[in-house]
Amino acid sequence: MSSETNSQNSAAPTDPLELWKLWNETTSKVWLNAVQSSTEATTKSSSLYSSWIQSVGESVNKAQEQVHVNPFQLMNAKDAWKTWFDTTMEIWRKAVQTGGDPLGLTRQWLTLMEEAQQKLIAGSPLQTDPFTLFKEWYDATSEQWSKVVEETLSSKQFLESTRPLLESHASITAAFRHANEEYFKHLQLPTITDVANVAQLVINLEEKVDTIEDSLENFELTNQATLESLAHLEQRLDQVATAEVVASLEQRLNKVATIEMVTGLEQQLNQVAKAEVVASLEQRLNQVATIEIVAGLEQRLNQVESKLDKVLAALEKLEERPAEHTQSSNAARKTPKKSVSQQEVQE
Amino acid sequence: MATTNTTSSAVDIESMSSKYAKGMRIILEGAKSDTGKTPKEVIWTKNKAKLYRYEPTLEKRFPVPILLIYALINRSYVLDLMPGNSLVEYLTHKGFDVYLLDWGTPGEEDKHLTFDNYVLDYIPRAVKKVLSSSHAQDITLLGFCMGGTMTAMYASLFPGKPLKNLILLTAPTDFTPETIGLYGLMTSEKYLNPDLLVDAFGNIPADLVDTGNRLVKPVTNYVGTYVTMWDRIMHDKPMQTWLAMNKWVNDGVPFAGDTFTQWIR
Repeated sequence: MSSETNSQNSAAPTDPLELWKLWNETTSKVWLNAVQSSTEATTKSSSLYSSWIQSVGESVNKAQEQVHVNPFQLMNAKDAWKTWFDTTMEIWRKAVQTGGDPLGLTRQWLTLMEEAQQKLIAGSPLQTDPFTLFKEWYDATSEQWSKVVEETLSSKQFLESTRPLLESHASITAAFRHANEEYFKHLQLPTITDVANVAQLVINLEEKVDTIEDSLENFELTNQATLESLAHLEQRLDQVATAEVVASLEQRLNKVATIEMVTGLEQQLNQVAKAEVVASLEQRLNQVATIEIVAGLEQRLNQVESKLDKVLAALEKLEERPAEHTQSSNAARKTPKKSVSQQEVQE
Repeated sequence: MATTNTTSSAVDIESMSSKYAKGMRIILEGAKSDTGKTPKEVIWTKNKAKLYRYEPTLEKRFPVPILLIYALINRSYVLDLMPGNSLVEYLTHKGFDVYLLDWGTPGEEDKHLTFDNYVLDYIPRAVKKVLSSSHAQDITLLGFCMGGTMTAMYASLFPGKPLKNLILLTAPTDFTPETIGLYGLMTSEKYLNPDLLVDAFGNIPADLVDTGNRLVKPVTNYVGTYVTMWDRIMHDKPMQTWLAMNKWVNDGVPFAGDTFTQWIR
């Protein structure tokens, strides 16, 4: 470790400004070293990578120069952000210009950065705490960034690229696995497959024990049910009538109508039912009889009428007799009238 | 005055360095958090699976026990993340009799397991054990994520007793390409051959499954998560929940090969 570094170390922690400068110089140096070595390695290439590396180198130089010219400017959060945006966005712009952005991701990222830059610069005073600044930047951009990433992941290009990636990863894993298995076999050491086979035997054994356990449990349950049923039956039997009660019941049963009696009763009931029907019929017949009576009465009235007709005819004959018999006839006419009336009453 | 400023700057720098170290440690070593802390006992095992009964904190208030079933690619603590942020803890505190079927980590010997095994063998047996342990006639099944898909399969195959209630949380049941978006595209037959992966890997490594899941929301999962982490560290906000969640996300288990093929197809 050089004396220069030692002196820097001893002075650095006390002053934040010095710390900031130190950090900037150190990281810039790291970047430049990385860039220079990469540039050397890719000088003959005209790829996106080499142009990008070149642009990074230029931007880092620019940033470092600014720190040397006016380090206090970087202590102002807004200026620090502006410098950071100018530096990094230039890198991304150059990357886009080189045309090596098949998914369009860099272009979208650049758009996001520009929007974020505008938002942050136009917003409220910025924090100097780098984590708070980063959180603000994340909160401002995460939604759009998520959208871009999710769209990229859903794209056919990306999805098609995942299949060969996964397949090659799976093939390599399978090949290594196979090789290891073979290697361990030659060493006569158990492989994971051997251990898995033993474990499978244990599982099979456990399965059998489980089956036995289930059978035992079912047996216990069945026995328990039988015992419970027996106890229940016993209880019910205790409640069943003793011999005396049975004798009493028998006696009572003797008193109860036999089947024959019941049949007789049933028959009687049927008859009762028939009598009722007869009564009803009689009633109806009585009603019929009333009509006959009316008819009879009518007949009798007809008879009376015919008799009256006869009496009238007799009277008419009497009126036609000679005058000499008038008095006697009148007297004779009074008498039969009475007798006719009497006859009518009698009838 | 100058001395005070210098001291203050030194303190700031020291604090910043310490925070930076803390963040980098999480990134490099992974999030560490005490998860799955609710007391439990194992009441049944089958192969790598374990059936837990969580110790009740109250006298049982509900006669129907709850069996929790989570995704095959997660760890069991996802439903018992940390005290104060745990579904299991919440349910036990409410007086439920809570059980959870821990799938364990499939080994090479389990690469031929399929959903048929899980739905027709593991879940029915676990249900039987829960009923026996809880002295209950009915059961509530709560399925989370892929566990919800599996409990839905079970419910459709065994719709009657003892299943009384079925609860599905973020359970995918509609797999038509239009409804699953980017996930559907990435897993379509045209771009992904699951057989090739199963032949190569046996069980699909957790990292590969995790990458696939993260790519559905790449910026949020790969950048947003860590922006939140740095923000919490730098502003001295509580980190426990973030650590527990990050542990969950990065702590998957391999996907049994043949089950993976069924899931993709």
